[in-house]
Amino acid sequence: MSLTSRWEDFKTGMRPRLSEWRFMLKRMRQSNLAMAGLIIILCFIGIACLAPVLAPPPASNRGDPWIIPQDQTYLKMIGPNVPTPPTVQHVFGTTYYQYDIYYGCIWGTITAFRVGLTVVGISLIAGVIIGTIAAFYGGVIDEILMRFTDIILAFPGLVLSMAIVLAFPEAIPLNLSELFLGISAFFVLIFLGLKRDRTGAIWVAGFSVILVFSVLTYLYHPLILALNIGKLDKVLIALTLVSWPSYARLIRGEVLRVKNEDFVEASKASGSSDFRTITRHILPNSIYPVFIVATLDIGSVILTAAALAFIGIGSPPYFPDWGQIVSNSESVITNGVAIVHNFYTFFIPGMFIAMFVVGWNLLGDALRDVLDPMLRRR
Amino acid sequence: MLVFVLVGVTILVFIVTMLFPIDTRALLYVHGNIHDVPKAIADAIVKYNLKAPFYVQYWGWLSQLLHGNLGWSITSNQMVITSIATKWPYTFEIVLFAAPLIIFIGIYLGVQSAIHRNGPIDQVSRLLSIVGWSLPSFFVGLLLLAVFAGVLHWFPYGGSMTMSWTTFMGNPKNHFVHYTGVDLIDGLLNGRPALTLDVIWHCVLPVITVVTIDVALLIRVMRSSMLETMSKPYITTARAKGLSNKVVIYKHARRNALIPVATLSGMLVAGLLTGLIITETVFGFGGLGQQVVRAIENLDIPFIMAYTVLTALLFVIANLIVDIMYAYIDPRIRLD
Amino acid sequence: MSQGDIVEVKDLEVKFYTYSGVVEALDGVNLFVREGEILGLVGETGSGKSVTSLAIMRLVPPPGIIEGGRIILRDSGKQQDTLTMSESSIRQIRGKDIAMIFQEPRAYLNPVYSVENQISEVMLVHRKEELYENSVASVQMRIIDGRKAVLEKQKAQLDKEKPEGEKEKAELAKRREAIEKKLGQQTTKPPSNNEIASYRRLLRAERYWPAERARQYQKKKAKLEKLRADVQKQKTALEQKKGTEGQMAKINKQKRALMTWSAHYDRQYAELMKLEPYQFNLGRGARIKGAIRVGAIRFPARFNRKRQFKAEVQKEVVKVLKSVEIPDPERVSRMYPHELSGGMAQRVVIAMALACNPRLLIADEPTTNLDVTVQAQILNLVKTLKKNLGSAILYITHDLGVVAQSCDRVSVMYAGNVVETADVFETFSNPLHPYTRALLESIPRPGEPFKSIPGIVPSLINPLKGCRFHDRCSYAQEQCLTMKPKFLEVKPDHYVACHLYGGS
Repeated sequence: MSLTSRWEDFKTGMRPRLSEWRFMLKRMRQSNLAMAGLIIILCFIGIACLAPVLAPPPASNRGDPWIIPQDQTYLKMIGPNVPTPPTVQHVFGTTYYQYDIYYGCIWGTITAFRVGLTVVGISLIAGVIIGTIAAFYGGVIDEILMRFTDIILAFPGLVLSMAIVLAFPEAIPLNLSELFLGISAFFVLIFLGLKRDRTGAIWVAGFSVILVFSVLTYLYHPLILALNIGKLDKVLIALTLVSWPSYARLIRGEVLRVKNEDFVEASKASGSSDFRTITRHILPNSIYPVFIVATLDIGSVILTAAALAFIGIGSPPYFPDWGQIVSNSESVITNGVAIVHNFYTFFIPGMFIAMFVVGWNLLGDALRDVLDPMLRRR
Repeated sequence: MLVFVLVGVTILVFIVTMLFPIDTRALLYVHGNIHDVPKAIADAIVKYNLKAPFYVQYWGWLSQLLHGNLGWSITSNQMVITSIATKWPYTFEIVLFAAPLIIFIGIYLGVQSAIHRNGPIDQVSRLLSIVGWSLPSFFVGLLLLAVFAGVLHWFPYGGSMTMSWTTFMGNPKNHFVHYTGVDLIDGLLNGRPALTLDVIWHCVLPVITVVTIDVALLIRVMRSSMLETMSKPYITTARAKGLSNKVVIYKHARRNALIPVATLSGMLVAGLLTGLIITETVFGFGGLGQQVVRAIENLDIPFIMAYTVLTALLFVIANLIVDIMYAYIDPRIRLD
Repeated sequence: MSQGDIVEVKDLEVKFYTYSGVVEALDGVNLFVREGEILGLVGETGSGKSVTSLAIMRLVPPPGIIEGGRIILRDSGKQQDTLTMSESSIRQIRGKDIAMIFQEPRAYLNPVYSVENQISEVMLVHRKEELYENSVASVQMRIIDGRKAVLEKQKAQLDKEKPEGEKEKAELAKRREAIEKKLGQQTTKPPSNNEIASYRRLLRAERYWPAERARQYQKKKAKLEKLRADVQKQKTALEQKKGTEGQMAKINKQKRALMTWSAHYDRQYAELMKLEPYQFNLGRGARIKGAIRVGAIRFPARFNRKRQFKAEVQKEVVKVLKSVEIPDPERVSRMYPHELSGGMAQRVVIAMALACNPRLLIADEPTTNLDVTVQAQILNLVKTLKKNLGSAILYITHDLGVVAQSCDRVSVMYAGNVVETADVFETFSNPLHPYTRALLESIPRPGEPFKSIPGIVPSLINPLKGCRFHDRCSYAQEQCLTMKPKFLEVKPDHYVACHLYGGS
């Protein structure tokens, strides 16, 4: 088949999907709340992109924007323990250690996007893969994988991520040999167990090569990388580990539902490989709820990260992150009387967090409203 | 199946504890009141063979866990069990008020929103639910503190009761008997209703904080579930029978709509515990949540691990209760 | 369309305001159902059959709005327009005068309530007083039966006695006569509320302390008798006393007091005596697991009016289930909808619809989702029910075979209009409207080539002007494109909406 004809086929195949997306966009434009959510997120994206312009990192930090500047004059005059209210110089005021709140909030936007998108992105991919495998192949694999997710889901998210972050070592000596050993063994077993056809044999052969290679290096000369994990990264890893099971469960439910539809059987009957059936037929029909949950989850992940920062688990005090800014002033805020006076230290970063999450929630809600009748239209 | 999950939970927790250095781990095995901490650690290492391989240690840990020894908490300088036993009533006080409020307000507003779709209640509820769920818990708590305690002085700044009562209870001359350990109830049982009122007065703001955040989700789920149920065919049959609108909604629709909400409410009540970590810190309530935060500051591993296991256990129990309730509401499930 | 109709639909217009546009679902529908007949409403999917039936009961779901027309309900001379009735009035009609059954029975039954719950629900809404009266009446019947049984036993005992002489024979005869008379009275005199109440009290006591109650009864009886004897004695003593004027006054006052007392005691005694017949088995009452036996009758231990009512409703539900030929109705009434098979569920739905004896039953394709054998069963059931209950049936279907088999008259619908209405034989032998003709011709016959109607069912969002069938009609004329044909009676009892027959 020539390339142009393949492209034509692809376009024809995508046409109904495109028209559905166009319908979706039209519906979204009709909803006021959805538009509001979109605008909010766009504003935040704007702030994130314009951060170097809106809050240029001071020269004292040697050009590294990821350190919030401390007001040295205040430090000398008042000392570190007294946050200062907003002035012209510090538009939002300063926190406990005289960190500039304005700077922190602007650069914190980037951090927020980073946290949200990374955690949700990775856990989504991992969860979808695992959930689809579990649902599609069923049987023992399904049981084992679901017990796994059950165990993780048995813990409240905040508590488990807390425990993981605390337990995480500062630097992981990443034994590449072990890693490859484990992954290749896993896939060899899976494909040995599942696919007893030619494609399966190819996969088994390929992974067996990697397996042999890793066994050899493990025995004789292990490949070790030393990774230093920053505090924030620990939080990211912990949150990812905690979030993926819900996606796995969600997609598993949807795939189970779609699996029994006639078009899946038709696809299998016409000779598609499992991978093809999954990617072309099952996934497009089952993935919509996952997107809705993902959108809502971005907000929820930010809230959890902020909660963890408030407890004391998170980035270092100088790092621009909304939750961290509030956590800096924790001793002052929870003291009682001083809370009214130092209102701005938690209110402003809190409002940033709230608006961010509201934006994503509105988008997620709009998505749900739009996709639901579409799902029902089927 | 449940057993598997519980075993898996213990294995996971054990793996996490194994990541800590041996000294910290030894604290998990300490039994009884100790005054000389390093010596106790050394003793524990020897006694429980903490340098042995992985699986041997697991058995040792599990067995002494099942004997009820959760270790020694360096934050409170007590056995972890004692620490938990003294702190849980404060958490319980908040949960006691918050849980029914969340469930009943959530269900009621959800149903009303669905019935009067796009009406005033619906718009306000939806707004509240989006906003309520988006606010970080410390934000709501601090805001309420600032406004109602700081500016208006209607409520106290925090703590679970005024200091005078604490000294009152401690004074042996007053013959205050801690019947249940929960100050709210003990106040009544000792004939001191003023104490109960004081506790309630201190509980108001934390409860409002927790309720605002959780009820948002419940309203949303209840509303969508109710809307979906109202378009089901058997509602048409009910109307065709000549039943009044009220009966159709409250008898036929609501019961079916509650089915997916039941799971969620179980999770919400269990999830109250996690929300309380932040809220208790903000309000200085002195319960389990605040203790965990202090434990984190001090890297008090035994307490943190115990708390993790405890919350997981409560989650599992809540799920079990929800499953039982499920079978009660939905006869289709009963045969299983 | 005459006074003999139960329901008459005139020029009904229903529009649905959807996101894709305004769907003109019904565009002047004319329909009428006569008393006690089966009217078949035929049409393709999308022709508006279901919407019409929902509109009759005013159950059109949003975004549908009934825009125009009248739906007239006739009830023994009175007539009312359901479209102008208030919500509460139409609620009284739904379920009672008009009932409806739907297509997929298990989806249309509430999954969390048992069959009995759902059937009794509709009965309780419309027939509550009647059932309550029945429940009370049944208890009254039982009390009367009890009294009768007691008297019968007394009579039997009398019969056993062997009289020894003329005087005794006469006495015996007199006693027998008295009992006979009482027996005769029992059948006509219903028990009073007091009787029922005291009987209830007695039964409650009987269940737990039969001997004790017997003792108390005897004690009270003895006490009352003693009091009455005392009063009587004092009265006679006073009668004989005579004295001065002043003393007379006092004596009279005493006498009056005594009269009041004696009346009081007499009343109490009479009250107690009412329970006398039930004392028959005191102390020897056989307790049968919560029940009490008095004579030959077994009574429930705790006579609870509410429980009686519930039992009566349950009995009625079982009766209705039996009438739809459900085997083992008691067990079925306790089941849940998901435990029923398709045919069973449809019978339950029919039972639910017929629970209040409606005058019109609307059946919206009730057999489409069922097996053919079950379909035949349900059809027969429907016909039997019509014969037994005399209700009219509006049978909506797209299956002409069913129509030919079961219906008395046929209405054919196309794209939101009724195009032809006639007696079933007339329609099948002499179809007038082109659509009806095409439908009948398209029925596959062995040996003949397939004939279908060219074109597709039109979209109702922007419907065609004029006659909606004109683009597929082989007889289309000029006026068909612009003018909508009127629904006229072209032959006796044969209505058509077509320009071919002067619909202009």
